Amino acid sequence: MTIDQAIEIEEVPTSAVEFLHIQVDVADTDNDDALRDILRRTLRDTARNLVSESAVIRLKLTGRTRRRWQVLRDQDVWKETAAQYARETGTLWLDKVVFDLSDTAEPGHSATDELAEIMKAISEEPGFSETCRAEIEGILQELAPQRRAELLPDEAAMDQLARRLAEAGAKRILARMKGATP
Amino acid sequence: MRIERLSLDFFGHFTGKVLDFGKAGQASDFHVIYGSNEAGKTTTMEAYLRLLYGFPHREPYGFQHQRQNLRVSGLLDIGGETRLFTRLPSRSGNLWGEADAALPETAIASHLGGLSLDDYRSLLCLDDDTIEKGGEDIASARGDIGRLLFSAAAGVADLNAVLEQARAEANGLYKKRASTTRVAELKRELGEVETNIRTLDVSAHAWRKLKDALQAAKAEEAQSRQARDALRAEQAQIAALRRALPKLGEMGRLADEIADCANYPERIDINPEDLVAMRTDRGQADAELRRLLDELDEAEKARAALVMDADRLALGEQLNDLDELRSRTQTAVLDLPRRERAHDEALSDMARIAQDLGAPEGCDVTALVTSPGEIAILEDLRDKMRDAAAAWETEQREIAGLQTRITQAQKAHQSLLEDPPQLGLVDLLKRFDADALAPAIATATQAIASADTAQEQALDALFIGACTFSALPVCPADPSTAADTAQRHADLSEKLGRFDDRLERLDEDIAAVKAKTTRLSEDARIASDEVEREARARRDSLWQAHRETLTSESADSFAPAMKTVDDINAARLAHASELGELRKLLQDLADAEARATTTREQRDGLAEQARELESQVHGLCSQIGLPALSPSAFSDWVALHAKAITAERQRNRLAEHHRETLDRAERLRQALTPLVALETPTIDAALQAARRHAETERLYQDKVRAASDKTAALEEDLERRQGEKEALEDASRKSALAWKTRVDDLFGEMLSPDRLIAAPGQLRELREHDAKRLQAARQVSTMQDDQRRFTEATGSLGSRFGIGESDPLDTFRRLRELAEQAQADKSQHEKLGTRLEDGATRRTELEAKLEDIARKVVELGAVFPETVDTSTIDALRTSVGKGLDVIVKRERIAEIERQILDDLSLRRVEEARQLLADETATTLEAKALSLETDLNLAEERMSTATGARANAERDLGNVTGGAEIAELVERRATLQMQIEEAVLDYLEWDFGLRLAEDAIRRYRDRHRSDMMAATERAFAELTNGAYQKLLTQPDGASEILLAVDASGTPKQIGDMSKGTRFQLYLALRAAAYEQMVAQGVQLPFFCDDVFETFDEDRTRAACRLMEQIGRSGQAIYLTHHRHVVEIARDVCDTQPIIHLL
Repeated sequence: MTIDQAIEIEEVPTSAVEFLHIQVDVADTDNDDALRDILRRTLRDTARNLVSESAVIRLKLTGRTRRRWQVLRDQDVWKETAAQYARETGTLWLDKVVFDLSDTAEPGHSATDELAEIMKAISEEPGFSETCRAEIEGILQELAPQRRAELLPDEAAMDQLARRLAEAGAKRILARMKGATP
Repeated sequence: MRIERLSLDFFGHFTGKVLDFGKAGQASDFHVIYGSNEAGKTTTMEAYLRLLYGFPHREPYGFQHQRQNLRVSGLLDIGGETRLFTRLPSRSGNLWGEADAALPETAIASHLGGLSLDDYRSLLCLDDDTIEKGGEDIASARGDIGRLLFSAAAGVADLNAVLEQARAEANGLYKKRASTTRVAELKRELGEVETNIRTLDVSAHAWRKLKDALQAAKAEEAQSRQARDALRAEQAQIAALRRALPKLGEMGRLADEIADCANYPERIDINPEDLVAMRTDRGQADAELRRLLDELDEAEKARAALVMDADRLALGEQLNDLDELRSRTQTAVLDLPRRERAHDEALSDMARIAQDLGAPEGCDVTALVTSPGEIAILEDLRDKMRDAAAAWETEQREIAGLQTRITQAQKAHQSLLEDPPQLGLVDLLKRFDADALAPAIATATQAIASADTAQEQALDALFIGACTFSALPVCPADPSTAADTAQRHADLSEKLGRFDDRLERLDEDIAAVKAKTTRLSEDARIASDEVEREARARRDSLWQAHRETLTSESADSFAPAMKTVDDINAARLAHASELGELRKLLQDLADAEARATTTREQRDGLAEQARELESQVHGLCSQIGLPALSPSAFSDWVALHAKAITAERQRNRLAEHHRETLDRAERLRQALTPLVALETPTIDAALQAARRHAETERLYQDKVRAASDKTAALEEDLERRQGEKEALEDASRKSALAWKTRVDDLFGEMLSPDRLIAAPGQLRELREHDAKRLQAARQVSTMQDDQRRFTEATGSLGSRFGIGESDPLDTFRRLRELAEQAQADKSQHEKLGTRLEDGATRRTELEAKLEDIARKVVELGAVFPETVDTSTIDALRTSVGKGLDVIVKRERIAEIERQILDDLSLRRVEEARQLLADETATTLEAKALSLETDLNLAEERMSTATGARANAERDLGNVTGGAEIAELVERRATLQMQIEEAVLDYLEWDFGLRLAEDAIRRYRDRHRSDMMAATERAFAELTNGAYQKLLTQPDGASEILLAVDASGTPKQIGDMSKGTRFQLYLALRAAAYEQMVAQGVQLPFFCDDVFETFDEDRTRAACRLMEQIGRSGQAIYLTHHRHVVEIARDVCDTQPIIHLL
């Protein structure tokens, strides 16, 4: 309350850390340099506009790019690159990098594309789902009971997990094949 | 998609290089790009890839042009539409279309069938490197045909490595019962953390005990703190009293000091420093006023001493008016003698010129001065006179020259007429029309010569053996009869031949039959009919003898004969069939012999006819004188003879046809012979010589005509010039008269026209000198006038002011001094007036200031009571100082009072006085020392209690509140999440790999037959059938690719030669291309000299394969081998298009 009876509201930051979800649109990146630039710029801007002293960030790369396969192939490199840029700012801590990219080109007619179609078809077959479920059940023994319960609260969650993992795995392998030649 | 034109605008070492692949339309779209080493074949292929996929960040082809200047463009045929694309090296927007508009990357990328740059390179842009890389992968695929086919079709060069690496990564994350995976490591760490947590945990009882101990310690600490705080309060009170005691004393002292100043004001707003400044101001103002009054007095006196005279003051103006005249007079003093001298010099120059022009001595030279117009007229007249005289003289000279030339020309003409060459040939040649006759003669001669040759050849053709003919012999036979005879003879000969053949065959038949009968009779030992007849005759004769005698002897004789006949008969009976055959043969023999006889008779008849014909022909031959010829040879000869007759007739006709021409030629030759000095010349030689002479004659006549023309022209010219000469002479005379008349008009007797001719220019000079003379005279008169006026003016002024100098300039100077003095006095008077006015103003100001100060002193003193002296500034200052001191002391008393009240927490000072009434400094000090001791004891008790409480807290904290357990718990949670993430990551890889493996198997099953068949076909074609078949052999879970060679032996890829391996890789690519085309993707297929390791036959096959690829798409082969180009041209049904780099 000021002298002239007006009410002013201002934000006074009191937190030491904030948690941020950052989406980066990489649609216009035609090469590695451009992608590196956009990552560095985004992280630097985030660090500059921070309210608290530091932040934990989760980075999500989105957009339609023709370099989708190459980025997916080198996802470990990109994770490390993003973590390094975050460290350089001195205030950001990278929690995770999520890749949610789509391809610009229409599905082509190459053998890899055909393979992708076959893989998609197989993943929808009951036999494969059964194999996946068995595999998941077998490996779940490695997890702590409470983690198990959180991960798979019910029957449907199991199928969903199997489907998600199979889809992601297929993309990963295809990315490797697409960019296999050095 | 196909490439129609590729432009390497700026790329590699190329600038503006264009490769035009043209429109598709041929049966096969196969191109060969030929260029030597370093011509830029690989550069071309790379440029094409840049056009499709852009420039890489590090560009190896930016060596000539800088990277930012590189540019590649091309026309691409996409679905029947031709579009222009340009690729630039910028980071974004680097694909341009028509009209230089940036295009999205998808404009090309969406037509590449999903192939990335690397895919395209390893699948459709083959060079030694990429074909080998793909090949090595095939060799190392360890037999999975599915992977192999997929590798080939997808262009994934190292599929195995990809899958293996993925599997290794998955296994690195998790593997059952393995100890080095990430999951295993995390679990190990988790186990350790859990053990630690268990170790650090304690029981509930122990915890409660510790908690009670802490409670007790806290209570003890609170009590001891309370006791200590009470002692501290008491100590503070004693300290406050000790501080207040001296302050109360000071308060009383101060109150006594200001007791007599009760009526002094509470506030004084006077700064003693202001009073000091005021006193200084008054002193300064007093001093300045005194000085000012003195100055004013002096100025007044000085002004009274100055005398002002209006007459003298006006003198300055008058002198200024005279000043210009003065300066002119002063200049004239120096200039006048010079001007007079110039006047005299001009006059003497004029006299000299007059003398030069021949004027009489002492005449008036100014009379000789004429206007410029007159001078110009005189000069014009003189020039005309001179020109006329010169023209007349020139004309005279030229007439003399002309007369000389006429004489020479007449002589030359005469000498030509006296020495003519041989004449008449021109007329002769014209009469015979030699120009038309010569080619006619040549034609005639040539035609006759040709006919002669033909005739001679025809005669030569008649030569047979030693028989020759100098003239055409008479032939009694006509060609048709001879041909008829020859034909008949030939027919007879042919028939004779046929009869001979038949006879021969018959003789052979007879011999054969005879041989057969002999063999048959020998084989069967059959007695021949003669033997049988002889035996029978012998028996019959012996029988006859026996019958006659009927003796045993005769019987004995008869019996063998009888037996012989019986034996013969028995034998003949036994061999009845042979006998029958023998009989038949004998009959055939007789038949054949009969036919032979008839045939021979017929043949002999024909031979007789032939001989007759031959003898007829021989008769004719001998008649002509020829050796004996066969009828056909004779017929040929007669035909040649007929030709010879034709040739002879032809020749005679030609001779008749050209006779008139040749007769004329002969007549011309005879006419020319005496004229050309040649011994019996031919017509050609005579004509040639005659033409030479005729040319000479024509030249001579031209010369004579030219000489005569020249003489006539010169004479005509002479006549004309003589007329002109008279006219010029007249003009010269007239102009001389005009000159003389004009000079006489102007100067009369004073100047002679003849003297003037030489120098009319001197008249101009005379005129210039006269102008100078007149100017000098004018200046002298003006100066003298000025001097007179100046002297008069200064004289009158000098007498008015009492100055009597002789030189008017000196008088002027003195007057100027007088005027300046008057002016100086005037300005001094004005200055003093100003000073007096300023002084008066200042005096008024100072007086007002002094009054103001006095008024202020009175005002300031009013705040003090009547008893205080404030009459002067100094007294006021003393009073103010004392007043301020009183105020300070009053404030100090109030301050001490406030401090005491604050310190002791009291309201009134009287209470403090009461409190301290019985105390002294000594009693208070004793109390303070006693309290000090008590407080120390209380402090000790409290720190002991605090230590006990802290220990109890620590013990309890160790049990529950410690960070270690929390950290461990947190770590455990983190590890559990990390394990979960690793497991999920593993599952992702694992599922992906399973899917990929399954999918590749299905891909194989789906495409195996097509791909294998296509590869097999291409490989068989490439190896020219050396490898007809491809096999797959199961090898555990996978399969090995084998190629079956001509001998039926299966061979692994590793066992093949490099060339054969390359052919297999190429076959795989060709099969993949076929697959792509079947899926609707058509892209240009490049090969960069991959046939190098192929032998010639396989190179041919490879060229055919490229042609075949060109039929379904576009094939481009880059090579530096001329022989490959030639092979491609040779073997392809549709000629490949060759481009030269």
